[in-house]
Amino acid sequence: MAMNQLATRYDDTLNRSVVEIDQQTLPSQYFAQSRESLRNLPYLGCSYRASFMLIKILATIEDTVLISHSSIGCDSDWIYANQHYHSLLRSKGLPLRNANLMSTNLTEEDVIFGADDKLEKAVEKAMSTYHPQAIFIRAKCCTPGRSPYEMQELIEHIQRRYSIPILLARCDFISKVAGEKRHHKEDYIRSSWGKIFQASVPDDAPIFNLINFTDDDSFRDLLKSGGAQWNYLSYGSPFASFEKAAKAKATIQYSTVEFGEYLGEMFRRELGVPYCRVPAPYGISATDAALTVIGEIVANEEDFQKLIFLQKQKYQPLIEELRHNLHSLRCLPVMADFGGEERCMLAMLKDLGLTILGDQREGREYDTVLSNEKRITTFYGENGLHFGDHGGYKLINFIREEAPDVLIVHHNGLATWSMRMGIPTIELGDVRGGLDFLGYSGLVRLGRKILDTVTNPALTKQLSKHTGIPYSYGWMNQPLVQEVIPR
Amino acid sequence: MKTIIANQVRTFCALGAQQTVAAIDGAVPILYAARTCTYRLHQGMSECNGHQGSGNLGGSSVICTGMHNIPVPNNNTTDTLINAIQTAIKITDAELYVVLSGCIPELIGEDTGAIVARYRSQGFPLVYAEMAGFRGNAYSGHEWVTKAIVKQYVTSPARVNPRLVNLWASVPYLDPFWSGNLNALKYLLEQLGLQVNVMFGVYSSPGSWRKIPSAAVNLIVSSWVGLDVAQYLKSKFDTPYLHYPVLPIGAGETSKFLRWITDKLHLDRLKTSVLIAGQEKEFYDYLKRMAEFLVKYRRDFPERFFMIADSTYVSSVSRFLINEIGLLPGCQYVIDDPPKCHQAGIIRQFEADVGIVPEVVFIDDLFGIKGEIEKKLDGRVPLILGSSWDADMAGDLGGYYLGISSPLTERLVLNHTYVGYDGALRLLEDIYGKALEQCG
Repeated sequence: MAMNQLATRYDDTLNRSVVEIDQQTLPSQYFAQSRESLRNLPYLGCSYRASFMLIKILATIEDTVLISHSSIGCDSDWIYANQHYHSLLRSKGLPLRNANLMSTNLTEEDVIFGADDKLEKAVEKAMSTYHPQAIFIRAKCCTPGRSPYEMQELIEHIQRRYSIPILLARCDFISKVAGEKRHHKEDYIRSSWGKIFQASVPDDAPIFNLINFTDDDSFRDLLKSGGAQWNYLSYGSPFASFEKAAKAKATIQYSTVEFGEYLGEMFRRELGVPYCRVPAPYGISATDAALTVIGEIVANEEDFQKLIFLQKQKYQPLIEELRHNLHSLRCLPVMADFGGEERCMLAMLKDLGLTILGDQREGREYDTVLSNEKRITTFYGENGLHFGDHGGYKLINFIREEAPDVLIVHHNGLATWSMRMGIPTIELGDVRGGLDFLGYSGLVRLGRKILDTVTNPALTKQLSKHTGIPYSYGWMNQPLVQEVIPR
Repeated sequence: MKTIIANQVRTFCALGAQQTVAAIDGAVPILYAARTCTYRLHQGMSECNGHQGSGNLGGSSVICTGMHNIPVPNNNTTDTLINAIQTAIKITDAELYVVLSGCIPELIGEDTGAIVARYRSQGFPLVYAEMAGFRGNAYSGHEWVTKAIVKQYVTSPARVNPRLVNLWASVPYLDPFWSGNLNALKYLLEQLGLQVNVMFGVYSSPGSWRKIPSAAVNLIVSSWVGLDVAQYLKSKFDTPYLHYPVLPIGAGETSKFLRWITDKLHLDRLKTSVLIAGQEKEFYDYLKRMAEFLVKYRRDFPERFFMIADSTYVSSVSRFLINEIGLLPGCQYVIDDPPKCHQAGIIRQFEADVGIVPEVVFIDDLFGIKGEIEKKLDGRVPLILGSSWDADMAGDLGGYYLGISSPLTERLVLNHTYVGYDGALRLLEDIYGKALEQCG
């Protein structure tokens, strides 16, 4: 993109040049094309950890309250979200306090006779207790007698009494019971969530929204030296940052977490804020590309190229040393791939020089029942192995047979069993929470973690000697994935 | 107790009984529910409650129908359960499978029992229990699933072993110290010459459950959880039960517990006395050491203790701290929603044999208790014995916090316990360790 496509002006208040940018002049190749709809954004659903990830994000937005209209058991994930909130506060040096979470605590009686008044009372209590700037309401499967439309009606009824936005994040299951059509769902989301951005925000210096819903802030810190004003939208951001997003010149999203994608898309659709999902900066070339693209968007290519040079100067020797130590290791990554994490992990492992089991480059071929293809040459990508949520057991026997030097998994059940089989394992936490290895420093951190894991595998050895796994002998000998003679 | 708005999750829902099944070594839970339900309950009751792990095919390895992924209701709903049962039987070698149905099957009127009965009639060891989350909390869920297993799995009458005792105590996983508690109680009882049959934890198996009718007595060490099962076992197998409503914590209570058991089961009193004498000598020797530390005036040490926990812990720990350590109680908050019929009994426990009777409140909505505690403190330094939700309150009130109740995110619990002579010493180390950490 030519530099002259973006206009810059001198801002007196900031005492430096800032970028004037609009959608017409932005580098179109980097921006998402108009999406057909939001239908495939899973954060509106209630599957596995998706609902949890949404809660983990909403619970940490400052000055808001999250109310769950459900049985108290549905809110068990709050504890984890609250623990995450505590760690955020600690990292910022702030005193400990709990996230603003409430539940209508539905009972059997409520499910039978209805509990609209309970939700109204909960909102009332939230207002008087927390004085929030917005209220999020999570409706769950057992929400009594209310289809999604009726739930929205109820919220609109409550909304009349309050000036702050009251927003619904609901369980997908309800819509399916009601036979709701997808396009209705989309309209419904638009009408509710768009309310956030109707708030009047004073004109400010040109800013760029920067979305990252991982726990790794290092890339954000790196960008601080890039000479642009960032409106950082992440865990623990104040609600004002979301309001301010409406005035941004563009939205840049670099994490793989889908909620970031959802927000960026919504800013584009609702507010006309150009949205760019830059390459997720995992591994050397993706980090280079991400910094280059961001440099172009903020019209500061020179500084960003310098940044790349300095970062490489700092981290390249460390990466080389890691490559030297890791090159003989056989690694099997088993990734949940909700936002491209699999590709990111493969790129990082290749940068670190590990041998990736099941990678096409190995030239091996496998016979499997886990794929539509009878034979596969790679475990990864669309033509690779897919075993779905809670399907870890399908890979157990194969993992034991392959016996990688190190297993990297995004599935904690699998991690439990592989440890007991004597395989040094790294479990990467939240399945939908992205990867905390951003940028060059993240690559070094991953390399060091792998090296540490294989340097002293004493725990896994002890476990394999003294414990077992609960799967049957018959199952462990099922030929679900077998290496066959290459063609 | 009228349930209104709660702001903190402490007692979960009935489907939390999946953790009860996961605690039986060799049993497999099969969840007829949404996957999110099962995972978030594991997260709340195990991962964020002492980081207790997945147990036996729990956590994200649990066998679950994943109901939210299919349009319901239709015939496929039932098929998913059949598939899950068949998968479970195929991939595991378990002796016991427990099907737990959550809110959705109950809302759409699924007949889970009929499906399970079909497999049971073919000889598969399957049990089912209806566990809709909105029907009760995890304490009730534990009670229901235990009763369901006893009803459907423990069937054969057996010859009674006069030395065998079935031990029923802490709720697995929900009480983060359940495993250590069971081990400590088992050890104490074995010291008296008894054989102890435990249904959960490292010494458990489906075989332990089959052995239930062989026991001479069912021993319930809990304020109310387990009583229903004991009464059922009495009616079914004519096995008598003994109810000790508190966990024996400290020398006084533990010695009393051992003497009580000795009398009830007509054991050797001399042997018990010798055991008690040895244990008390050791306990009081350490207490002497601690007294020198406690006797010093420290203006920043805790002056009133407040508990926010289930009825068993509140009555057991407060009894020890009041009767044996001489701490003064503030208000004690009971959060497990005991059935109405047991509440009077729980209150009586506080009034009986306790030097100073504390104020006891049954509560599930904890809004505003910070203000209440602050008022009661009148400038004194509090010790809050509760869950991770209460850490910030203790900080705000300038006091100390020790996590002893679910959820417990800041502690790793393996076999830690406060039961018995040694357990009480651990409790004192933990409480005053916290105080020393903060004020040196």
